[in-house]
Amino acid sequence: MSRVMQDNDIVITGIGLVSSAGMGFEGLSASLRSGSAHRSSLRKHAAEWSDRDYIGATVNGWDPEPLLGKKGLQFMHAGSQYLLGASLLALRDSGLEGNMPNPDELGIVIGTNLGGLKAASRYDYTALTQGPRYVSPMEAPNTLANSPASYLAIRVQARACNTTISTGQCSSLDAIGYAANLLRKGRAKTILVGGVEELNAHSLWVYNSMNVLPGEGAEAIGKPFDAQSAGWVPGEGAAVAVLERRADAVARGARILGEVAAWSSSFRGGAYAAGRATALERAIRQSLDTAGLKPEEVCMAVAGAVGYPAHDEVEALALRAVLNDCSTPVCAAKGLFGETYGAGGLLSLAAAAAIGRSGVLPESIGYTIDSAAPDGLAGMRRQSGDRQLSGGGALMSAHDYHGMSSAVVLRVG
Amino acid sequence: MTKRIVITGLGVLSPIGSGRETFWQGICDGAVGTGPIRTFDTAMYDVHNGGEVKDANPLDYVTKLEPSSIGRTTHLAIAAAKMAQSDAGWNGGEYEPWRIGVCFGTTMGNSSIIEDNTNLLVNEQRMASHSLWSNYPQHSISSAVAEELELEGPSMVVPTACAAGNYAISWGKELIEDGLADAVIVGGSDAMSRACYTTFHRLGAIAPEICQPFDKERKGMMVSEGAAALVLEEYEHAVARGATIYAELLGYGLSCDAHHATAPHPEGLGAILSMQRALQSAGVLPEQISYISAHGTGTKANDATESAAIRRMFQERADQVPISSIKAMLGHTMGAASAIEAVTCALAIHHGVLPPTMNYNEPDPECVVNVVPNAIAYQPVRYALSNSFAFGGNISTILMGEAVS
Repeated sequence: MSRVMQDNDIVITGIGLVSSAGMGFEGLSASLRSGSAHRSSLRKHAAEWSDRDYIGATVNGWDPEPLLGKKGLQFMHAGSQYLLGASLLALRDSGLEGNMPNPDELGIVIGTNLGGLKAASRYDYTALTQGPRYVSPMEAPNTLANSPASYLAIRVQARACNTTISTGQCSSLDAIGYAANLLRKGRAKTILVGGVEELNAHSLWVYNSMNVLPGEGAEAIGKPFDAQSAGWVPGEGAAVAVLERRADAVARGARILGEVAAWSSSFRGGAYAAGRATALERAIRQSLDTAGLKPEEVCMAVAGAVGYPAHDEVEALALRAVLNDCSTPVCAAKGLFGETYGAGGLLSLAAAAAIGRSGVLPESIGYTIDSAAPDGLAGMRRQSGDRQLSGGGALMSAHDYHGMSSAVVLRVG
Repeated sequence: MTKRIVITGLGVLSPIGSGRETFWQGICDGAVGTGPIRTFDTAMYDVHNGGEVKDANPLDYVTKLEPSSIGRTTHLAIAAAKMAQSDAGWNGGEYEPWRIGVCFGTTMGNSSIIEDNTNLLVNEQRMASHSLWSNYPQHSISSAVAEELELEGPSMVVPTACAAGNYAISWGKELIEDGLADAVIVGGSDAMSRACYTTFHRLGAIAPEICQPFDKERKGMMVSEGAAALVLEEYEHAVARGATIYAELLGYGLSCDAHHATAPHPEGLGAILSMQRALQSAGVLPEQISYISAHGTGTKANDATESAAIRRMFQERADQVPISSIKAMLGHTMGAASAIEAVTCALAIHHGVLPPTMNYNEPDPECVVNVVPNAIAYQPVRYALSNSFAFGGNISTILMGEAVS
């Protein structure tokens, strides 16, 4: 893969996260190596409508005050706090903390889905049962999906743009595509691109209604590419990357963690994995084309597979169709993070960056396409032992319950 | 060479009428579509008016999906998208399905599901159905549109509150420019929402009777519902297939106040930035603008700060360039508002008509004054600028013009 670096390349100069795999790169790397992240009972969230238990990939020991200070926290829901925390960590990682860009040139693009649900539900219930004067005006912004991004814009003083994107499990990959476009077109100099979702009684209820959660007593849960997996381990958290044009990053002496080379997206819903896979395959091929990469030049595929076999099969089919004989290592980091919905793509990006840095795809999240096996889930084998990676193109993919498919090509390592 | 993106199909459902022709007749007649709300009982509120879609049943347009498993915001979006597709004269052979994208904005998403659920909880101690809740996530709006219209390009929802329509429109332009789609159906949709009504009521922002943008006696905004969709495609393609080209989408600006979660920046900092960037991206000068479609919600704060921003931007021309807010007629249709205003701008350019600001009686020295009062004016509209502002300081301005050959 010979390629000349361009000033207008979109590069990643910082990553921050607040997740079940810790709050920073060190914690994440340790989690990737050990193959374990935090899990806890979601009984308190499910209690309103069920007496059974669910296991969630939750943020452990989150104490926002040391990072965010006390001001304004009272009315900020957990998701907004996670996003602000991950953003400040990303800015610190990029060397921009204390040396912030001009607000007119700093933008925000966030993938998230269910941010307004809890507050809007409470508003409506309170209005109907007690009267509309009994809702808190301070909760008003929390009724909207763009509230996490809005708190963030105020906190970091970002005026170039403030966009929220909701495309379910594709949200934060789409946010990366959107952000890269704005940077290429000169609409911002620096963008915080992130993904966030919080677990609460309302979001868990939506997942339950989507029938993606495991049934009672299921043995295998949240296991990517596993036909026996009974559904999602619902997750929460936020991940944020600092994106800039290469020339700007180089000019300020920033460390470059990777490059966003391409994004593409496509749609196909319906009940059949093979039909849905045609759309994902198209998005993957388009993004590779845009990045100027051949399938054999992909050093690692970073899949969105999460342990819901009907949709994991979509990814298995599409990856096999594109990468078939390349024996490309496949990373499925959602086995660790759970399904964090709007945050999933960005958390996978953080994992890809960590793996790119270490040059090793750990056994716990590694898979291999077995071109001798039948197509579909059967063609995805768990990796045995750690696998050394060469640097190069990392292909990220995501497929959503509602039919969206997205792909991002990164250059890492 | 930069691609030229034009608008060739329009669909709209609004409190002053649905379908392109009926809607435009309403604009030309100065129809006021707000009045007592019928969607829910308003007895518990201090105010009772809003704007609802009354002349069309969006369910008539839902032909593939099970209507009872999707919310009203999605119903409205499907109807608007199908109207726009039909208005564009598409009959299926124009583009490959995977080359057509969908991008919608929304404020509340399908909050009718939340409200149905509250009613059931309170009255029957049960929840709304799983099938309905499974389609609560915002992007079920664009996935449903894509499924109903059998489109397979990028399908996205941009929930940037009351500026969402313009965000969706501008992203559609980018998708075509970057070669990710040949055409995109863009727009916005929001159903009448009790949760939304509660929000604006608690903030004391709802006018008791009528919405009076830029009037000295204005008393607030009016919560409404609606949807609009616009077909965006490349100029060369549109000409080649003999399409009616309403207008060209020339540019857009994004910005954020980064000031307050629900109040605008007092000097309109973000609004100025957004208008500047829209002009800059289109290569159009402020003195070339023939019409401004204001965000103009009718609240004290919005209209004064928007006016301050327009004054800073247009200097002495601020009181000469015609400005109007159709929210006097429709109320504030939330995520649909800027999409409906985009439809209005496209038709204003197409017909050479300045839309009116109804309910306008007394000029406010704090506001712009050339507000096309109470009746349309016939005047060529070469370049139209349309503002949209939202909670969280999300701001977007789009710039349209005549598609000259």
